[in-house]
Amino acid sequence: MMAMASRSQRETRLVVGWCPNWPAQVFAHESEPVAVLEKGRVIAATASARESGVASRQRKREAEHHCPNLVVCDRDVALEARRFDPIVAAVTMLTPLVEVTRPGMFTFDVRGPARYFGGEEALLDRLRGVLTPTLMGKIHIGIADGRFAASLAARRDAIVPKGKSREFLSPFPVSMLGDEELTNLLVRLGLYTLGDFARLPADAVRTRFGPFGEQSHRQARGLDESALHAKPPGIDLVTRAEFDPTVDRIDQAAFIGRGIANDLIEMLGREGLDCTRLIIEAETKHAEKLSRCWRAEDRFSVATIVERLRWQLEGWLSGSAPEATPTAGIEWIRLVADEVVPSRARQLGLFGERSDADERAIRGLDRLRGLLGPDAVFIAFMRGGRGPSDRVQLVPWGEPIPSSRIEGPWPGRHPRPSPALIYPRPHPAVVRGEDGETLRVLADGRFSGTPATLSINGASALRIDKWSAPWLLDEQFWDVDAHRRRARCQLLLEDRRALLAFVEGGNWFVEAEYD
Amino acid sequence: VSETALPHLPLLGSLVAPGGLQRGTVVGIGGRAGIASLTLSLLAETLGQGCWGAVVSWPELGAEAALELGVPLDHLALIPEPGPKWLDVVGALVDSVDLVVLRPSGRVNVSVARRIAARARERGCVVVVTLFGSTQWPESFDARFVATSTNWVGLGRGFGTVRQRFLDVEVDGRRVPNKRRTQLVLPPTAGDAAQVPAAAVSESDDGDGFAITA
Repeated sequence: MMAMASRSQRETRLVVGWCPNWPAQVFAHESEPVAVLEKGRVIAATASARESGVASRQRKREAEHHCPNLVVCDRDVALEARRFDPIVAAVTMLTPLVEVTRPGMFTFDVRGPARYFGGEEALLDRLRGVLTPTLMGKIHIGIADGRFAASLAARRDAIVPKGKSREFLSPFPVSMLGDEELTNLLVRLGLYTLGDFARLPADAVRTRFGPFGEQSHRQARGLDESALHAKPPGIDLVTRAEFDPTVDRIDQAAFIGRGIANDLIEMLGREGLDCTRLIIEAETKHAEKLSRCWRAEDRFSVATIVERLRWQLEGWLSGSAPEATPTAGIEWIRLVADEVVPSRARQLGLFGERSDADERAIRGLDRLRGLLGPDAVFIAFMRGGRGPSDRVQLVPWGEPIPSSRIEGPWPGRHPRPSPALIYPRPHPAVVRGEDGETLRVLADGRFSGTPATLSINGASALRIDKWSAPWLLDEQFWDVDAHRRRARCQLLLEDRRALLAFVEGGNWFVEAEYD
Repeated sequence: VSETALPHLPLLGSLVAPGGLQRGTVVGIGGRAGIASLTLSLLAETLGQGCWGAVVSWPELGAEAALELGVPLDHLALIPEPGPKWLDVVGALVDSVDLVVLRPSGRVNVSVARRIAARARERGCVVVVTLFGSTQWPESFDARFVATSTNWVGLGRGFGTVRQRFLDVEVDGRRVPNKRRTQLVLPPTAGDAAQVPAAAVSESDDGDGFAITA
């Protein structure tokens, strides 16, 4: 049987640091009330403004009516990013991989640093220690399993114990999921809290609310929505640009950055992937290096990559942290797709345009899973490997298809076309040479004689008409352990069947048929 | 996607009838060899156009070969071990996908075969029955493909590897006006449907002199 997908979904334990009202906070001096507008509406306000009655979505005049001495500013995301960078730089002293979720919010994996500093409480003390001098406003910090729970834990300055995310989330209103349409629907159904929503069976949610509802349902249950998004091993999704001469102007760097951002997006497209977390690295001629990790609001595009690059370089070059301001021009920049997900274009029928046929098939297969259980209906996908059965993975229907499509060189992989029938268990066989002796593969990789007959499972022997030269599965096996050496070959029998066979430790097996 | 016929390449579907493989029909695939390759080719022709398929009780089916022949694996559900409820499984699939491949073993009950055919007709689904070894289907098929002989190209005595195979196929059935014979090349040469290069026919060492009707 083909290998089953391993479904170890360890929830990632995360720290989230959150500066409330960050878009307004960056304009604030002292206790002056500030509101920030985007498209003519208030999107953020400082605490003092909110106390006077300023609220999100108000128009400028309405906000000023509530708070006559209000300072009204247009949103400046670049400024938000620049002002946030010293905070990120400070956290980087504790752990190298801090992700800027958005300006005003950072996230990192708690496990490594907590072990290093002696527990989560100790880590939080350290974190508050490094943050104090750089902070303009108050920062809230939370720890929980999963990204969604951790971001809500930050609002409460809470450490949610391991495995308790679902309980913690339960009393929050469904509007916290941030999906207006879904919220309205749930409220109409009488489901007001995340706990109410979490109690719905997952199958029903998928059928009724589609994949986005399913993802929100996972969030409500305290499951990490990005648990399967690990970077596939073996693929380097990196682009790099060298500057000669070096550049010290952001527009120059951004111009060339756009080129390699484009290359990265194209590279991802070829692999059928989208990038959700990006690392941008830059180094000056004096080997001063700045690396930042950015999370996409949705999925990165060329434009959003270039925007992040600008933010990062502006913060650095503008000298917002004098001791870290570079002393020379930038020599190179590098973009690394650090976390990827299967591209929406590839998840046919599951995102975007869904045809009637897709709807009908998805509903039917969901029903079938209900009838047979979770491990009976599968979708196959290709991954790396050498043997015909290694290369296919079956993913239970309804679970995300992993993004790892590992293109090796895979020396020793069987040649194309692939066999159309793969036996769940290889059949023991006997292959004899013209001299009547069992055929062997010699240390130099040749057969010990001329192949003559094959007998499968003790059945009567059939003449071998044609055969390929043997190919070795893995040369290391030949050197290290004589009993585990394995060689494959193709055999064409007198009855016109073409088979894929292998020999290991002197024993022959037939594993597949070309049919 | 057509209401009455499944989309198809000019190959297997058009062998049945000029309009292609009709929805609501039951198709058999048998013969001494090539059942899996023929089935995968049929799946590739159909699912490439946005249709969905399912394969029931056939754990040996090679997914990689399917992919190489052009089957979109993300539109193909596999139910390798349906268990005792297999008929319910087939019923649920006939209701929801466009093409269901079934691998029965041994002899199938007449009433079961009729129920499957009736459901397929009602739902506009094509059911493909593979006839390996001793498998028997008690009803006549709307269309039946039988591979009569095969010949491999590319493999020699100690050199080369299997590259392509020539498959002589007979097509008959209730909905096939005239019994036909043809020779297919699988996998098709790149950029080509499974057309037979003229030179290949003479290379076949057990050519029975079939007329090429494709």
